Amino acid sequence: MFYKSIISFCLLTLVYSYFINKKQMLSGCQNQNQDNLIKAQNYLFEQKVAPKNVVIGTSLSCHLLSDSVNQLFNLSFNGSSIFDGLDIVLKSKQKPSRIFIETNYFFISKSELLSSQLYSPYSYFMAEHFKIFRWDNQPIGIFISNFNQIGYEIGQRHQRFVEKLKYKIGYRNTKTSPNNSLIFRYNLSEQVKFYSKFISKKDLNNKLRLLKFQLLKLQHYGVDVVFFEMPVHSSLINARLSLSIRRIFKSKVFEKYKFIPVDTIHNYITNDGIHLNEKDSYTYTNYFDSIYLNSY
Amino acid sequence: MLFTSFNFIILFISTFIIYYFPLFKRYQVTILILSSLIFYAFNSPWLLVLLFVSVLINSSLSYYIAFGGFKKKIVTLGVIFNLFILAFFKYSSLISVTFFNIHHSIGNFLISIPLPIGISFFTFEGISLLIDVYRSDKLVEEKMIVDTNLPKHIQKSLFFIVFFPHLVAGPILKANDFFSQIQAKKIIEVDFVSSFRFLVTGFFLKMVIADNLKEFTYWIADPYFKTHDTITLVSMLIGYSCQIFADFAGYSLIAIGLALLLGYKLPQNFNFPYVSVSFKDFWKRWHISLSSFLMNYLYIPMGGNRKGKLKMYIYLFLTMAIGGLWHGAGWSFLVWGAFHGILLIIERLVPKVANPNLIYRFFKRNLVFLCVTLAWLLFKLTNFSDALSYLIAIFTNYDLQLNWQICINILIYCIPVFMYHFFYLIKDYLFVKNIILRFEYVYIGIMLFLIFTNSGISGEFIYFQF
Repeated sequence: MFYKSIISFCLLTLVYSYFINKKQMLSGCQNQNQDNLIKAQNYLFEQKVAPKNVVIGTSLSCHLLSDSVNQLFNLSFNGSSIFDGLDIVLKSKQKPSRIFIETNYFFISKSELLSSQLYSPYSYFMAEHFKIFRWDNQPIGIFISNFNQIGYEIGQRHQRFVEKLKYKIGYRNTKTSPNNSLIFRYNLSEQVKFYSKFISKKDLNNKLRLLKFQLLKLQHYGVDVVFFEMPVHSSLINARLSLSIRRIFKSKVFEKYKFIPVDTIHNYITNDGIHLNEKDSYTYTNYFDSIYLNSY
Repeated sequence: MLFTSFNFIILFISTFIIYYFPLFKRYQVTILILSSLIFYAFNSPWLLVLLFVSVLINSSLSYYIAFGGFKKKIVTLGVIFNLFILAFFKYSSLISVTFFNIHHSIGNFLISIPLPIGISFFTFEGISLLIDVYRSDKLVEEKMIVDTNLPKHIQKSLFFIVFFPHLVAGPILKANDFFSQIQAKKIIEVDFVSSFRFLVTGFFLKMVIADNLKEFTYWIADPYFKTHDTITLVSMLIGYSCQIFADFAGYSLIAIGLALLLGYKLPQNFNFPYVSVSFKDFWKRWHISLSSFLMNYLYIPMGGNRKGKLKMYIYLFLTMAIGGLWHGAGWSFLVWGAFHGILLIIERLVPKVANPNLIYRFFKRNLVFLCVTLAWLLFKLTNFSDALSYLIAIFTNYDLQLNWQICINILIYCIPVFMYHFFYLIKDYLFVKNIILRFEYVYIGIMLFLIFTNSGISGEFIYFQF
């Protein structure tokens, strides 16, 4: 049984490996954490030549649509910090020419989850050398991706069926807005509370020290650094936290670095106070692209 | 340290090599103790202090129970000591939140007490050691557990409690069953095939099923669940039910497989619980080591079914409620246990069907699964109002958009759990015996393939928090 099982495993691995290397499969991404790992592994293992420009940020910058901007790799992670992205860039063999660093949440600590999954010695080695062991090539993930289109259609049909049924029985929807607005209000109020606070000096100094250290390393490799601020809900733009962060990045320490100015022309709409909605993600990407193309 | 971590694999391989190396044959127990201590205290060495205190007191008291006088008084003192340790470290935050103001100094002190990992398991094993020695009437049996040499007895007790496969999340061992196994082990006696089967199934359940389901059941959190429709909410609940099974049963199978490689047999902890046709049956199949511990050391000593029906129901209810509270320092766990207690009582009150047919058994299985799944909600949403809101949302959110992605992911990762149980049900049919079970190596091969290519993001085992 033992040997037969091992042979079955080897056969399956070989066959799957053949398919992964020969066929262009859909991405096997199934959730947010996996999405982060896929992005990191793509940056580390898939790039033959380092991308010219890399965006480093938190989930806010994930809304920068890098596929609509030339030679820009978005290495921003959901639920993580800028230090995760900086770490990956510094650990990769080839360095980009320019890095865009988001300032909004620079004080957030590194994600232990991301680094432990990414740099676990065994999985790092396997993912580096064998494509089938990368997060993007998970068989069940790929299988589900193929189903998603069908699923979307079923979802639409289910919705139409419910609507038809409601119409037939004379049901009138009394809800004035979808429940999503509840999440929006909840998240925005949480963000308003958060933005009205000061970050502890100790935490701030630790993160600044770390950032300066990483910037020195980047300077050593000849990487050009540009800072930028992602737009947030209008009630948060001039909140206490936003102002204090802007003050830090305007201080002497950062005066030698370039900044993409905050966009004051557009009034951005967010999903939860801090993350841009789909339409405004395009708007800000265009703004970012226009500044980046014109000035840098 | 997690069974699924790279550090653990290195620790286990090196332990295994040294353990069976002929030169160190005399030190096998010491080797396992050392490696268990590394396993337990890898991230927080301070945890060892409490563990050592617990072992030292339990082993000394059990020695004096065996060879000294005042047996009843000493055993009572020992049980009180273990319960005090458990209450102090585990329930201090609950006491603080319930009885003290946020700014009260005692409340602040109680809430600051850290929860040592695996405390519920090693204190219960301490109790088992004391009671088993006390109950051993025959000298022969007593000698098997308690060595006449005190340092040797302390060493054996330490090994019994810290043996790493079961230390942090069970199965809860009984001193009677384990002490008799402590002897020199040979590599040729190891049942590698069974161990391989346990390990592959365990790692598959944990790494492929539980760790992937975790990413989708994450949305059973306030206020996020409020935006999902009825089907998605029900799917997430079923997904959580499968996740908690895969997580804990997976851990237990890994523990059994690892112990087997080292020559020790740990008791079975799960016996296909979701095929249960009654709640009584469920508790004979789910976390068997805890159920039998509560039965032997709580329910029967309280009176069991010897003192009339009414008292039996009261004891049953109390046992289940205490068992619930054992799981966590929160009133929701108590309610969870009480809910199961009520279900067990109702079941006993309803007259039994003499010859249940297939349809009836199918209906009962689904009813038990539904109630058990519903009760798991209190594990995930420990705030009552949140749990209630979730149940209300199931009935009111039918007109929201279906989240297909969550539903299909949950469905696909639940299929192996249902198949695992289904195969158990049909295992006696000739067709299954002749065809399906003959190709067991194919399933093991597929599971192994998915462990390497489709594992989720590794997370702590759910039962670590208990």
